[in-house]
Amino acid sequence: MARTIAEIQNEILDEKGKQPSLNGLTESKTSIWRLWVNIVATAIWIHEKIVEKNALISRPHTLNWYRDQALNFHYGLPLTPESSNNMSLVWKDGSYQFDTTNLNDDEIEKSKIIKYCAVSEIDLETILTPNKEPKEIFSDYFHNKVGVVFIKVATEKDDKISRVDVSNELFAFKEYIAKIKDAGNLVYITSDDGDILKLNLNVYVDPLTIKINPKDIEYYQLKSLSRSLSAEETAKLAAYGEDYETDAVNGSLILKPEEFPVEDAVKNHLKNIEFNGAFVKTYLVDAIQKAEGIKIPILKQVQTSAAKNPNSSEDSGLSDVSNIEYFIPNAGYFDLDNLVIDINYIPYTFYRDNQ
Amino acid sequence: MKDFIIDEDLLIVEINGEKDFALKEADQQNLEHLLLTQKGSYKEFPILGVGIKKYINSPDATSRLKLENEIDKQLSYDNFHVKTLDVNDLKNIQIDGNY
Repeated sequence: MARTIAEIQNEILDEKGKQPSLNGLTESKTSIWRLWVNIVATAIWIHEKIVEKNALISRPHTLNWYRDQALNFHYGLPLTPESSNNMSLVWKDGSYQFDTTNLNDDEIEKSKIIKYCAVSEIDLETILTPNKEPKEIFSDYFHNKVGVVFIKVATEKDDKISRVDVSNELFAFKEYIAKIKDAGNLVYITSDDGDILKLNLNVYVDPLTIKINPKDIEYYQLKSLSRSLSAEETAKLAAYGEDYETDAVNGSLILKPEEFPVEDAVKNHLKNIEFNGAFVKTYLVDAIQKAEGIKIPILKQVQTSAAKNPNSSEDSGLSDVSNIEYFIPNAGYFDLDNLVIDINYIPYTFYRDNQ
Repeated sequence: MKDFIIDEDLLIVEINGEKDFALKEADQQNLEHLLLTQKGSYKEFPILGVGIKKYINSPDATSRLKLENEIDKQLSYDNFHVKTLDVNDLKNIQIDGNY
């Protein structure tokens, strides 16, 4: 890591202290020699920064290098005679690069279709026997195994994170990576639709802040119980029927009826998870806790599944991951359009119930 | 204490025929630079410098006091021990003391 200016300067000053012939120099802060030391230290610092950056992106093909290359992928640049798939790569400065002559910055930016990219190294077994069930992550899972470079990519469409178009763009991208990667390396590239997520929450809310239609309270309470219901309670719940519709205003702020604090908090949290970042149950609960009027958020059930592959006819089905503390979505992100949040709103009024 | 001496054009001054890296008693030069430079001139010490030019055409007594206060502060920041300091005559500021 590059040293700071002060560290470099101190080393110079230490060295200067070892030279008896330089003992008589003034210690004033305005002295010329100190100014020179500072200038030289700054110059060395800038040099070290450049070296550090170069080391990071240099030829040794680290995971970081793969990520940089993926984000730098240009799609649909003009065809050249040697190009087989809408791309023109030229061999320049010791590596394949895109030929961007005659293009302005806008066009270059537009052709960079990969907006999100996560590169990891996973063991071969995971790819040979793809297990659709999300599993708990151990650090071992990512390290120290004979690995395949695993690249998840996504792009942006209509300001929303979305998968790279499979038939053309992903094909071109795979071709590009095949060209620039090291010989013999296994690279596995995926770009999927966002994972489906279904949440089931019990939320105790402040009835002074958040609207709940009184007719729905008993229904919510019965649904929220986690113990097995008594015969009487089962009958009561059955009386509501499968298709019982709760009031649409439930959960909105009394002062701002268009705002639903719990749903907004959940969506906001999911949106802000970084690409290929873990969904952590505790963090979600923390996020909801901070919302207005929320007393106790309880995450009862989490279900998830990878998005349906357009080629496969059958749905993979939701799997219950409530017992997993955190997991990484298959595609690297969740599909917020198909997010299902089932919330039982319960007024926070224990002090009266006990009397 | 010694240092390299530079002239008004920021060039190294010739001393006894020796032009490069010639050292000479530099306290006077240090004080001169301290008074002339603005804050921020020295990247290493951003709050160093009196910036005396700003005070030169101000006639009233309060700004003289401010100037005296500023010089005193800056000198002690530079580890200069002030014995007497007189700025009543801007053309002839008296500073007595030593590093």
